[in-house]
Amino acid sequence: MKIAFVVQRYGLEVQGGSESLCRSIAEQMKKYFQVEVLTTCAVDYLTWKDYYPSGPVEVNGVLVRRFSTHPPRDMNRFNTFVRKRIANQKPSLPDQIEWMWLQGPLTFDLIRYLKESREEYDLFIFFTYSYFTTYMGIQIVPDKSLLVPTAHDEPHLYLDIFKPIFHLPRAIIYNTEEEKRLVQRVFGNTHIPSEVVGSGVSEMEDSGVDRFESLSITDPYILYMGRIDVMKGCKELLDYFIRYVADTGRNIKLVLAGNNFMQIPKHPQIFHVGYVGQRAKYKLMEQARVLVNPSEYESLSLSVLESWSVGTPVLVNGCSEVLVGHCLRSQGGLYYTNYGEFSLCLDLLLSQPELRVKMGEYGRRYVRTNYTWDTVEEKYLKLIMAVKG
Amino acid sequence: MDTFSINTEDIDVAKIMKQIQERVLEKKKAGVYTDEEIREVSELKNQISPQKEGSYGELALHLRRLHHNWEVATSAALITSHRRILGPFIVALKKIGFRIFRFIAHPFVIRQTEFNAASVRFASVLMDELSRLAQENKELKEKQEKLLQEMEELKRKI
Repeated sequence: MKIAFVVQRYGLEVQGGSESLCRSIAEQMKKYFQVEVLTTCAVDYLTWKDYYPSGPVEVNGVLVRRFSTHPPRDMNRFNTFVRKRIANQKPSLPDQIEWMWLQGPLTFDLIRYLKESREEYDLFIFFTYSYFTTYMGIQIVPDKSLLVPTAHDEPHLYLDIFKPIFHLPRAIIYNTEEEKRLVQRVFGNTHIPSEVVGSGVSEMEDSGVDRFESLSITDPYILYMGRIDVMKGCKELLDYFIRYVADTGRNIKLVLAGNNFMQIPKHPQIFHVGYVGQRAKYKLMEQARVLVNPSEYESLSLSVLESWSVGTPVLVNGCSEVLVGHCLRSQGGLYYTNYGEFSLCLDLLLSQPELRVKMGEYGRRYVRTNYTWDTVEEKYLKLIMAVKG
Repeated sequence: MDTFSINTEDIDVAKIMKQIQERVLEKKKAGVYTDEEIREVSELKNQISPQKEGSYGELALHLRRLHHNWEVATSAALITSHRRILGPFIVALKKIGFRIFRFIAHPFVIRQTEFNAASVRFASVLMDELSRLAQENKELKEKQEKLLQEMEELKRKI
């Protein structure tokens, strides 16, 4: 069977939850099927500018066909349009369609390839509902499509243009029960076969000499891992943390690991260590007192699952149903919706090591039960075979 | 800050969170988180973060309040009674009444929560836009001053 994964970006240099998930699944599925990836040449999700050359290339044993994006996204135009035409009112259908064009990535070569080569593939697996590649692709090959929406409760989920996207595919794979409930509530698509799968989490490998050694963080710290961005709730996290250390006088550091897209205040207890590799990431997680995920918009949160896989409890944004669901099912972390809760939760976790250890263990067990690659592969295979009869 | 402890034998996150939420409500009632305190932290933040404009301190404070209170669907009421003998009976009665109210009002509360969420998001976008404009304005003023200085120098030379 020949399967194509269709995703907005793909490559070793690409950061992003949905894209990483797609790459992991594609690499796992190549054991069972002939796998190809259809994607753009972009790395930057803001502009979609071509970074890789177009054409076929092999990435970790998977054939990747890259197509050029033209024109790249004009973020100023996009933001102005969203402010004027989308944010303040119920947008009209033409405005919604224009939004989709401005959202991109406008890769007409990929769309043409889909039209011309649809018979060569048995199944197309589309990742992320909100991009042009999925929006157009699913409408071209609905009878051969499977959708991994990675949706969360964000304003554009409610746009009418997405209705067909959630009704056309042969099946949908959700990352969490919460995502499934949200999508089914918004689109009423319970008749579409679906499965809650998520992603597999790899166990930490033995680390050799790594960049972690040069980070030299000796004091106790809490960790944020991921893109440092206002949209990820980092501004609120920084505000709360600064207030917390002012209130309590605790000698605790906040370590931010990831590429930065916002102003980080200068504070003696806040460290930005930049983007770290896989081994350093696990080491940072393992040695952290707590991993914090302040994002309100999450459809899975790999960082939380990875943190549990090394036995570190988490403190997450209680406005995210997905994150709260993880915590309640695993008993591996606490959540907050305001500063009062943030400070009490953090205080509790920092002052009771035995609570941290126990919650970390519960988290690890949750990951081993639900998010091993064996479980994930099995669920994907079952659904793919069901769709193809 | 006073810390409370949790029995680690049998961890139940839902229970822990309920305890934490009750303590936050108690603190709010006791006025632990005062407006003054919030303002102080806001000022502290302004000192630390060069991007923050002092003139938007109050707006930021209101926005923060909106962020704290938009979620009416999950907000819990702390039901207590000061009466010693009748107290438990009154509390039980109030709890039943509150549950009935929540059951009847649920659809409206959900709609209100959705509206609140949209309003808070909109306000946040506006706030960010204001901050961006303020920064832009500041930079333009600096540029203008620099140009005026250059003009003065040129005039003097002529």
